[in-house]
Amino acid sequence: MTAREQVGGTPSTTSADGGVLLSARGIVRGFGRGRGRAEVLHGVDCDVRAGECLAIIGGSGSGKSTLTRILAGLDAADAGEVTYRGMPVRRRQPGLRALRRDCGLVFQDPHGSLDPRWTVGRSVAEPLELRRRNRVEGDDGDARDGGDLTGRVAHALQTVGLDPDVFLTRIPRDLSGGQAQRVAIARAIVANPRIVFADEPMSAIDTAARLRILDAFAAIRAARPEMALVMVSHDLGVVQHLADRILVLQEGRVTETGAIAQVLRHPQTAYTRSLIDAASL
Amino acid sequence: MGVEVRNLRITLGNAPIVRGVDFSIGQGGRVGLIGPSGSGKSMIAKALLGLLPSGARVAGGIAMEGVILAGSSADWTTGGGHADGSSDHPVPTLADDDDGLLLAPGYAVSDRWMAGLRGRYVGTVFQNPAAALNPTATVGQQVALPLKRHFRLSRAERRERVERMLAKVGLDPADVMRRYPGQLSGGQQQRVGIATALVAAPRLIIADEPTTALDAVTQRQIVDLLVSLVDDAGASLLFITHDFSVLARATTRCLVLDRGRVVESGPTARLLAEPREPLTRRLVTAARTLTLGASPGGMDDTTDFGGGAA
Amino acid sequence: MIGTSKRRGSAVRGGPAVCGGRAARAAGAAGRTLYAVWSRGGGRAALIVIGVWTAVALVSLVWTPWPLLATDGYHTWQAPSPAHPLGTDGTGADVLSWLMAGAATDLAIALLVALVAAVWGTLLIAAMVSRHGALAGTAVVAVDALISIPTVLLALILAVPLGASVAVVVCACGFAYGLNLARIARPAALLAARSAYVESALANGASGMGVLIRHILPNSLPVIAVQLSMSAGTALLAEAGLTYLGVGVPSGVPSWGHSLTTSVRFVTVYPAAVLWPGLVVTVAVVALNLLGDALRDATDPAAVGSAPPADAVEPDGTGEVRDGR
Repeated sequence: MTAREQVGGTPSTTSADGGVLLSARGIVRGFGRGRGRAEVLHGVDCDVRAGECLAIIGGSGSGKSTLTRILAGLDAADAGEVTYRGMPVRRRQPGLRALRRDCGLVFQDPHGSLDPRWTVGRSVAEPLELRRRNRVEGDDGDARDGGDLTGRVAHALQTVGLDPDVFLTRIPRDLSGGQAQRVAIARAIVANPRIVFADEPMSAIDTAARLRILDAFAAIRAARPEMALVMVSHDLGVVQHLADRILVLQEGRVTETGAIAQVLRHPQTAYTRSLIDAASL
Repeated sequence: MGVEVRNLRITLGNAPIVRGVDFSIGQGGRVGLIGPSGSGKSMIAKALLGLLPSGARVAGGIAMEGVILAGSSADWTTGGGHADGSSDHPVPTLADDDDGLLLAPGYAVSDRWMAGLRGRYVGTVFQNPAAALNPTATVGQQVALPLKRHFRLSRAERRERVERMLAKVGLDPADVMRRYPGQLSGGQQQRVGIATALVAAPRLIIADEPTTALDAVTQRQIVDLLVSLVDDAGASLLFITHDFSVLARATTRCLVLDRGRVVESGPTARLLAEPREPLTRRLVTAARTLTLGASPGGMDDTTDFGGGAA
Repeated sequence: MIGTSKRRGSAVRGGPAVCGGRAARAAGAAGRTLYAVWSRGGGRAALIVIGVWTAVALVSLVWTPWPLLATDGYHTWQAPSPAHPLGTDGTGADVLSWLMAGAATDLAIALLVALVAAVWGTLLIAAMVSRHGALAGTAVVAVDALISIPTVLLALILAVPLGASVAVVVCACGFAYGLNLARIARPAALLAARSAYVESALANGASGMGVLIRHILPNSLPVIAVQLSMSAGTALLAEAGLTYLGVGVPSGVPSWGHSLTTSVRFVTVYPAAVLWPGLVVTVAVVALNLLGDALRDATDPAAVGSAPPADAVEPDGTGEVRDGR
């Protein structure tokens, strides 16, 4: 199957409009104190629905990574509220625990997100082992193939297009950037998360390998139609095949949001137009 | 007279990184070097700059502005051996080049001599501007450095040239001269990098993935800026990237590199329209798939993915 | 391109790598590391010296050529002879026997100092890279403050309640070297602690202690290993110094420092008497430093891997090659 067929086939079949999974209201976040304080987000609202792919688009300094970290519960907002399935996401609250259990993370630097001393198999298995250790009973998946940790690791690797026989015992040093990123993706999805956050997953990868990562995400979305994917990028060209909805962030404010086709055809702001220009040949 | 590279071979330890590459960049030419990571494209740039890591062995010839930097006479007299036959440039030989300086193969060109060459004939724009700029020097000092090293100018003349260069790259000299790189955005840092590379009016600009660390909008601006400045100066450009959509804007000719060999070369437009080699085709497909409103499959494929989603 | 859910016996092959017992994995890693140290020139020399040292120390516990207390006032400062291969000291006791017995004491001191420094240093590292800002900040300041106390001063203070004893050497050196270890290993530990893989482990529900043991300490191991083996070497020098000052190993207990102390006063008259203990200490310290360097190289993930060299490109089931094209 080629990249194009794979990528093109997914969105319309999976954009079944699920309920709102994760919702953020009036998010404000700044860094530093006193006069040196710089506000990165000025009151951002955002919803992520089950089964959709939301692309958060913006240039560097737009606050898109900060927003994603707050959505993923890795960072706390100064003001505003994040709720996951109706539960507030705050320290020591069930909402944060549930979100932690249900989310997978993919970062920009593929090698940085894998322990250099661990084999691929061990890295991908880590989320499962941690869940087992913490006795987290997922309401799906865990019960179904409870003990078969190795099988699930192998399946996750296959989903992202890596042959387990070849890759299970490799260490990150022996992976290319694109392969390492796909291992990181396998690790993010191995525990059947309801929501996956990917922060610039392709910007550190060379163009040819980006297609394989797109394929990997497309395959995951096809295999798990209920899973939500939040993808952060500065490049509309990269997300055009995956995203259902787009949220354009400019200097900490949402300047545009809507279905991707609509935003691409009728951009409302000059900034969105410049993003579209930049991604055109 | 541009740059000539003949049968360039580089080994690092026991691993061959570059296995016989020929190309030339004529005066004012803009040539792209494209290939996946590990194909050796950055090593070629480093060889041109004499900045190869210790332990790297170079064989073959490099001539810049008629000055032979490395290589034996054999590499030049048998100079017809182009893998691609794409060179439109006459092969310089020792006989017809009176100013030619021959250095035996393996002879280490003195660092000082190469440093002199780097600033005057070659300017470099690096991938990561934040790392390439000295964090403790102001923008003014940074850009003035090549002038200081290679020209005898009064303080005022130097300042004037730096200010003019900063204005050319779209920065306000009054604003940025006294700032430090850490106080600038990524795009501004790369503009400073371009100003530093171009301030001494070099004949060749080597841009090693100058846009990968930048966001899409800034990428576009930086590429356009670089191309217009290089054209204005009449300099040559060697642009290294893994992204064909960048090359399409920046270069007229390009070489596709795979594991240290040139697998295909020709005018950029031709390569984009009808790539022949599988690798080139993959790179072109990738560039098109990741671009809005372009059909990924090339000429024969008319599916529009930009509008088809959702 | 992406395979269906067929599994080619991967459950069997990948088993140990994925979820093998922790003990087995640790033993395997230790064996590989030891082998990697052995396969380096300096590392091999260090292992040989340390092996001989350990063997001599063990033997000395049950046998020495002469009893340690066999003094002979008529045959002091003797040159080497068949009866006394390294001669005799100022009391006429056999130098070789005392050095052999000293090997046991000094080996114990080196190991104990390394152990104390490791435990104390690891606690400090854990505090310094903690995600609780206040704790980390306090730990950093405390280490910087405590590290300025000279080891000798510390030993002199400890000697007030403890008297001259091995415990003084172990406590003073362990304390000081633990601080050194913490300060030197902090950047590596911090790099791992702030890495994306630790962050995603934490997001997946790992505990702070869990990521410390599973990710942060193993990735700081190259630095820790060097620092600890150098500390063990420095401990030998400190033992000699403190013993000379009278706060280290008590007189009557054999140690290399003791042998040096009793002979150093006569260095102008009987230079050979200082030569042997000095040589033994020097060789041991050099061996420990070499061991440190070899350990650093051997614990580097780049060296631990069992995967093929980077150039061996092998197509896999998906037709994919290593450099990701």
